[in-house]
Amino acid sequence: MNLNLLALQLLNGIALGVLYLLIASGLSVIFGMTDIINFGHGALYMLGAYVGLSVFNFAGSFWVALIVAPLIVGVVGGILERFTLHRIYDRDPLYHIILTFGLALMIADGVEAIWGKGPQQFSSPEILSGAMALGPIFYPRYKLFLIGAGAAVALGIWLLFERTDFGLIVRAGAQSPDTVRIMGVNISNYFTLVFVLASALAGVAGVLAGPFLNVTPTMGDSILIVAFITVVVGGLGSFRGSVVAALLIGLLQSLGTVFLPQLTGFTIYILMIAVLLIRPQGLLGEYEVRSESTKVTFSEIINPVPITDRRVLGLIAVLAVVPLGIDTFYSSFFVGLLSLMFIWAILALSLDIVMGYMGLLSFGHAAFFGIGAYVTGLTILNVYNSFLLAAIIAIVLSAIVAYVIGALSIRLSGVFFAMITLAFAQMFYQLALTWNDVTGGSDGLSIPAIELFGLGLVDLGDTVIFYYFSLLVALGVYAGAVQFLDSPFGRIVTAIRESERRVSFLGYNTNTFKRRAFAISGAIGGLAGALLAAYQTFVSPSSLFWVVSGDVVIAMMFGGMGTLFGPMIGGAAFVALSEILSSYTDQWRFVLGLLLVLTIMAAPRGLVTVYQSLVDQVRDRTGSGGSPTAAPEQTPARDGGEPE
Amino acid sequence: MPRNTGSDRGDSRRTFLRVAGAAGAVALAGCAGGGGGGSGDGDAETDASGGGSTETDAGGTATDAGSEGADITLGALYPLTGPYGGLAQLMRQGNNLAVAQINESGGINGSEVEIVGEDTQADPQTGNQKARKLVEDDDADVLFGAISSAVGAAVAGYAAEVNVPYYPVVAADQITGENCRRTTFRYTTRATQMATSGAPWAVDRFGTNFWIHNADYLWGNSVATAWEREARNAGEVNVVGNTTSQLGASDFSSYISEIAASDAEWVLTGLNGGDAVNFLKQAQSYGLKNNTTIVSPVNSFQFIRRAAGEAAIGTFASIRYFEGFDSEVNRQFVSDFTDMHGSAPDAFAHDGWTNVQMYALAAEQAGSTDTDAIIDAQPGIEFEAPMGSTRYRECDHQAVHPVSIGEIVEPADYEWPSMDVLQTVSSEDAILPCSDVGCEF
Repeated sequence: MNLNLLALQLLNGIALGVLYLLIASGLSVIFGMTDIINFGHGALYMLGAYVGLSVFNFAGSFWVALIVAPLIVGVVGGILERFTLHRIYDRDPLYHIILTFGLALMIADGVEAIWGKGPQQFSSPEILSGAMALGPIFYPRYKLFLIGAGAAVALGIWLLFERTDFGLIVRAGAQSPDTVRIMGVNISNYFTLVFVLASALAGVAGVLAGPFLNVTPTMGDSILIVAFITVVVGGLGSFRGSVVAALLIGLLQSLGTVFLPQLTGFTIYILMIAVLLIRPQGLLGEYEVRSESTKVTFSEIINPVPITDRRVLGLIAVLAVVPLGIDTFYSSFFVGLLSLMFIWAILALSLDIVMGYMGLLSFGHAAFFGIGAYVTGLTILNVYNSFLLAAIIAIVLSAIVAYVIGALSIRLSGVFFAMITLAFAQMFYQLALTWNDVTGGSDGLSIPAIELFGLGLVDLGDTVIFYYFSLLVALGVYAGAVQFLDSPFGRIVTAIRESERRVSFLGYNTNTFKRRAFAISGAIGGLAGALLAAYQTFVSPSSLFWVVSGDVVIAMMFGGMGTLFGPMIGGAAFVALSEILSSYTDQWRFVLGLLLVLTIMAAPRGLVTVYQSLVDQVRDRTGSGGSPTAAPEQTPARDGGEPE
Repeated sequence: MPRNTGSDRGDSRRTFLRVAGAAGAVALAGCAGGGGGGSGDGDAETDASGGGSTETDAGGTATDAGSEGADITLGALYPLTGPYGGLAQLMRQGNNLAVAQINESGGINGSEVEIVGEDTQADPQTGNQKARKLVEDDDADVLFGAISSAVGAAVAGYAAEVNVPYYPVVAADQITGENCRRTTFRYTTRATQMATSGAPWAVDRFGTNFWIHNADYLWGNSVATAWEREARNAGEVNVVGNTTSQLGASDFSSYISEIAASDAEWVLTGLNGGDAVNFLKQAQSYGLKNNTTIVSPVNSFQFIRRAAGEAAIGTFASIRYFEGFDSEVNRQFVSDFTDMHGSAPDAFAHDGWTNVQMYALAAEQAGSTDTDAIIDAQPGIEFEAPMGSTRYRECDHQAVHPVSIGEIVEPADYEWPSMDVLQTVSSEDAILPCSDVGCEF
């Protein structure tokens, strides 16, 4: 064993660890106090790097940047918290998590708008450049500084939490916010302060990382996942846990690259999954899952619209004649786009079964999407060119994978479930990226035009034929899902969301139902993936990246969780918005994020409820004056007989 | 105690509608008003691509140059988002210069030319989607661009299926090798051409023990394979180690440490764009080039020389294009480019410009933009490009031209490092014979 190499890698690992610590500790503290996993943390880190760069260019001094940039980022974090999260603390923490994802999109695109898309260069200060001799090895001065500065900041934070009144209140708030309130402290102000502090920490990490790593608009995405893993492994809410976990993970990544290169990408995910399964509270954490944050809940139930409803039939009629207008009103690309919208509708629906009906926050649905796509592609390429065959295999495999993931994860709930599904999905992403021989790695797989049955009967490569096919599949899936949820099995699944305990009192093994429902959800997701492969005639790992999982959540929430047809509309709207917005502006994700934030704050049940309130307004205005229960097929069942 | 009643929810929903409507209107108005300039990548930036913003093309993905209702549409794919963003902008500038010059001298066959660009985000899936959009929605007659070889490969497949000529600006061998298509014409120096001219020279000059590090995707792997093969052809060599990193990876410390701790005399880096810059800068802080010479097929790119600055000086690179290259055509090209865009051109601007010019010549020769006519006419066109005379080969549609290698040295005419050309290999010597290429149409 090369000792020099070992020494170098140890130092590299520690440097990485310090960086992760700064980000993870902020995440951990926010979570400890507010139960919120802040998906925007990566973006704040990135913001710190960019702001630091600008301050550096403006003031000419790295040290000024190191002080000013974190302050700015802290203020930005505080403003965001005040305007958004602060107003919805009475809601389910899981809504907060989704909202922070929207904030992340907004910050990321805001950065792109101001600083541009390309990578920026951040030079390190003169006295820190070059390498220093440490015995037989040379090590960059800047990295030594990074280790030192990061450790100093971490120490400072620890002192802040252990020795000051502020820290006392924060720690107490993490244990029991109500008690702190009773003692006369306005705990919600402390929520804001904690957010400011955490943002500033992320900003420090960004400025420190800037001269050494790449300053790009995507730097937040990649580090966020590692930060999540660090927090989970160390223990949500535990600062000491973050220290241990951050160093552990930094060393694992650093040494792993040299000694276990094949497993490099996977080790951290395996670690996180192992910790979640064996000791969910983390290595040093004592966090107990609070009952409110175990499931997504909502009080208003909106039943899915049956497929024989007039409006649905009307929509189908309109969609059926769309292809006739090709070349007169629009190009075939537009029709292809509609097909993509159907695919996303199916995908969003699959997530709704798990999230809207079972109440489990799954952040890993991209896995099924991608598995479906890859399996289809591989089958077409290697077995036989028949979509039916490929899709069946894809559905079955996705269902199996979903069942296994479900079986492993179902004992967790709330945030932990979200994290573990995220980890599993990322593992598949890594697999697709590294298993070059099979998946083609980052280059992807090119598929020839797909036949429906094989034997040259129905060519799915034809845009119009594919359009009708995907429309049929979407309708079929919707009708099937409605039937399924109306069946005894489906009703139990819905009941589990409302109160799992009561369902188990009735004698049902709730875990069995959850696993099966998750498997069905995965199967539908796989079907969507299969269609995607047919549409694009190309598959690449990007459909497995965690941001896609987040996109599906956005689509579902935007449409309306728990309604089946809402997410379908949401999925279609998502594709439409992305396409339309992206041809007007490069910052379309900003608008998407903004819509998500607004949706959660003002209309958490999504477009579906907006439509409902529009209908109500019109009815009020036209003075039909009746109760909203006038038109039975339009109004949802009310719980407790409340007026709408 | 009153619970959250319907009217409250109605209120918040109304508010939501108002705010969302306003936000949507503002977004669309602002962006439409900005003429699609929302991308901002031409304007207030500190990145390496342009000096002053005297560009005549606004940023964004809308029509870049030419006028509305033009008869010939060129579709261009640019990886504006991601590690190749800086390179993509230069390629776009080169394309736009060519289009402007062509239109000034009467267009192609008397028809005005317009060019429409789309952002592939350096992702093959997105690239495929955008290529579809360009062909089906924008009625592009021909496709240009990509930079990322993975995107290029995906688009080449699509272009062949819909029978549209495609001029990729990618360097991975396969695109005019075993994955060649009759619709693909590649001017860009392919990995093997650079390896043939660079590897034996590097072994000769720096030693037989070398390390290979590349980004794990089509082009990176192509470089690694080609250089190793050509080095072995030249004699007995020892590949001390071979490591790969993910495309867009930001931390090369582990790899640099490994290389530094080994006994490799030089290292071949199959990295491009932001990756290459990062590697150079991090290697600089480890003092790598004091003990291990860094050789690259692409560090001669202006973007990399500018961004890496001092970290690039003292390293060696194959030269696809050099703004100080001594030829009359190049001087004219540099001058025209600087007039239009306010800064010097680079390899991608050069490749983009040359591709469009050669296509235009083929279309003039053929008298139309029909794909089959273009495919017939293109190999017969001999063009005097800034880096030397060039033409496409009949057998694989790969362009032949001389290839050079040199050292990156202190700045000379510009404020970024310049180059010393140390060896030039002729067109014939730099390219594999048709029989060895493995291409069949």
